[in-house]
Amino acid sequence: MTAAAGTTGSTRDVELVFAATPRLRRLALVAGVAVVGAVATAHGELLALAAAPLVLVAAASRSRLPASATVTTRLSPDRCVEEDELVLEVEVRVPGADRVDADVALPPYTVSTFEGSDAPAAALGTATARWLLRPGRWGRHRVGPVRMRVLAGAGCYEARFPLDVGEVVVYPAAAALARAVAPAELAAPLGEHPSRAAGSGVEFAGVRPYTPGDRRRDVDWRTSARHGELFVRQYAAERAFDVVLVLDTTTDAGPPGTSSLDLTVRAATGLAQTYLRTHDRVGLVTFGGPLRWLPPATGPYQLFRVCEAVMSVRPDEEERAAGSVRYGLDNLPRRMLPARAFVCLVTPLLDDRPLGAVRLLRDRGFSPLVVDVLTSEPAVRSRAAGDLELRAWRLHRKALSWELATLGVPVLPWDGEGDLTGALLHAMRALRPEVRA
Amino acid sequence: VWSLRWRAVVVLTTGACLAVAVLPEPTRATLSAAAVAWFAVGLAAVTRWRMAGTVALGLTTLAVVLATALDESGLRPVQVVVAAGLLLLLLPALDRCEAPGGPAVRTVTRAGWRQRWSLPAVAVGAAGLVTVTSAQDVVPSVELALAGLAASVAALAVATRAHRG
Repeated sequence: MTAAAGTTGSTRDVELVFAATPRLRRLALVAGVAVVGAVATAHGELLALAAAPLVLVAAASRSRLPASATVTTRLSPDRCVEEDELVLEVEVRVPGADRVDADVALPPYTVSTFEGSDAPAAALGTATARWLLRPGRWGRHRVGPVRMRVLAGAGCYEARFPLDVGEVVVYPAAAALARAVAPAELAAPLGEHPSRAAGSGVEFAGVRPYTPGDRRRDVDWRTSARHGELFVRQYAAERAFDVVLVLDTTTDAGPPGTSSLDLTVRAATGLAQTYLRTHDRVGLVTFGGPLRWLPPATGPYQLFRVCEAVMSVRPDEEERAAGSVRYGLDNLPRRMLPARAFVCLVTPLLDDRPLGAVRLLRDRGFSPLVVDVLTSEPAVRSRAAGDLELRAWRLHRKALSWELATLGVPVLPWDGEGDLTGALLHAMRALRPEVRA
Repeated sequence: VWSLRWRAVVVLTTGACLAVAVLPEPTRATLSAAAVAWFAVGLAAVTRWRMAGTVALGLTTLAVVLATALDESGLRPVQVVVAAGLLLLLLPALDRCEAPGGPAVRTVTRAGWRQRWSLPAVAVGAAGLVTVTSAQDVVPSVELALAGLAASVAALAVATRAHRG
C-alpha cells in the first residue's frame, strides 16, 4: 500500500524566557567559599580561586542573552505504513546561544535514529537537526513535543520551550496475498476473475463445434484441421465478486505489534488491497464496540476508506469502559451483505461472539470463512493452577473450532507472516456448494 | 556509555583537583574535607543528585582553601590557579552528568570552540593575575585599603546589575 506523501510542521518565533541554571549558583558558591576562606585565614592568594568563577559570573550578563529563537519543524511524510521511515527536521536559529539541545517525545513503538546536525558548531547561523523515525505500530500518533533547551551566558542561563510537530497517520502493513483468489462461480459481471461460465474474457476455456453466428476469428484452425470440421475457441467469462470483511475487535490479545488486533487490521488491509486491485467490491464491518460498517464498493478511494475505517477499530477508553458488545451483527443492514458475497470473518476466537456471528451469517445464507489471528497464549500466574487454566483455555478454543467445523466453516489460522493466497484458495474450495454457486 | 563517560569525567576531575590541593603534605583537616568531598562526588556520579554535586563542589573548594591555609608549606600559586581551572572544568561535567534527558537529548547547534573556551581562559588568566599580585610584597596603606574596597564594591555592583532580571 502506498500512502499519499505530505508534510506537517510549522515555523515559530519563540520569545525566550531565561532562568538561572545550577551552574550560576555553583560559581557563586565556589567564589563565596574562596573569598570567605581568604578573609578568614588572611591568605590573599586564595582570592585567585575566587577570581575565576567571579569573572564567569560577571561575564554572563542577562542583557546579552538572546531574546528570541526562530524554530521550524518538519515531519515528512505525515502518512506512512508501518516500518516506513519518516524524517523529522528541526531547524533552529538562535544568534548568541551557547548550545541548543532537543529532546523528541516519540510516539509509542517508534524507533528513532539521530542523523546529526548540519551545523553543529555554528551558533550564529541556522542549524538543522534530522531524526529518522520508524513507527512500528499502526494508528494515529502524535509526534512530539520536541522539548528545546537553549543555553546562553556561559551556560549560566537556560530557556526551555516545547514545540508541537503534528500527527502522523501510520497505516497497517498489508497482509501478503500473491493474487486475488475467488470462488469458481461468481455473480457480478464486469470483473477480472475468470468464471466457470463461458464469456468474452481472455482466459482460454475450451473448444466446441462451430455454430452459425460464431465469429470467424474464434475458429481454432488446428483443432478444425485435426477433426475435419470447424471448431471455435471458448473463453471464460470474467466476473467480479463482493468481499465483505467482518472484523472482530472485541479484544486485543497478545504482545503489541503482533497482537490479535494488529493482525486483524493487517489481514483486512491486505485482503481489501488485493481484491480492490482486481476491481472487486469490498465492504467492511467491525463489531466489538459500536457496530460500524462500510458498504461494498470498488475503486482506489474505497481502499482509502477501508484503511481509514480500520484505523478506528482500536477501542478508545470510553468504548473499553463500556465493556461488552453494544450492538450485534443482527443490526447490520441487509444491503451491507449482497447476495453471494464472500464473507471473511477475522477474529482471535477468544469467546463465543464469533460463533454467534457465524450462526447469524449462516442464517442469512452466507457461509463465512474464519481467519484466526491469535498467535499467543495467556500468561499463567502460578505453575500448578496456571497449567490447569491454560489447558481449559486451549480446550475452549478447540471447542470453538470444532463447532465451526461442524457448521462447515473453514478456519484459517494466520500468524501475520505467511501468504494468505493458498490457504484462501483451499478454504474457498471447502465452502458449501450453495455459497460457491 | 554516555552516562558512564560523564560520571568518570566528574570523578577524575574532582580527584585531580584534590590531588593538586593536598600536595605535598596534607594536614588532617584538609584530608577530612578531601575525603568527604570524594565521597560526595562519588555519590553525585552514581545517583546524579544535583544536591550531592553541589555539596561535592563546595567541599572540594573548601579542601583547597584548607590546604592553602592550614598546611605549613602551603600551596604554591600555580597550584591554586590549576585548582581554579579544574573547578571550572568540573562545572560542565557535573551539568552533563546530571542532565535529566540522558542520551535522548541531542545537540542541535552549539557555539564554536573559540567562543566556548575564551571566557574560561580569561577567567583562569584572571586567577593567575590575582595570584601574581598577591605574591608581591606590598606595604599596607590607607590608599591601598580604600582602593581594594572600591574595587570590591564595583565588582559587586557589576555582578548584581548583570544578573538583574
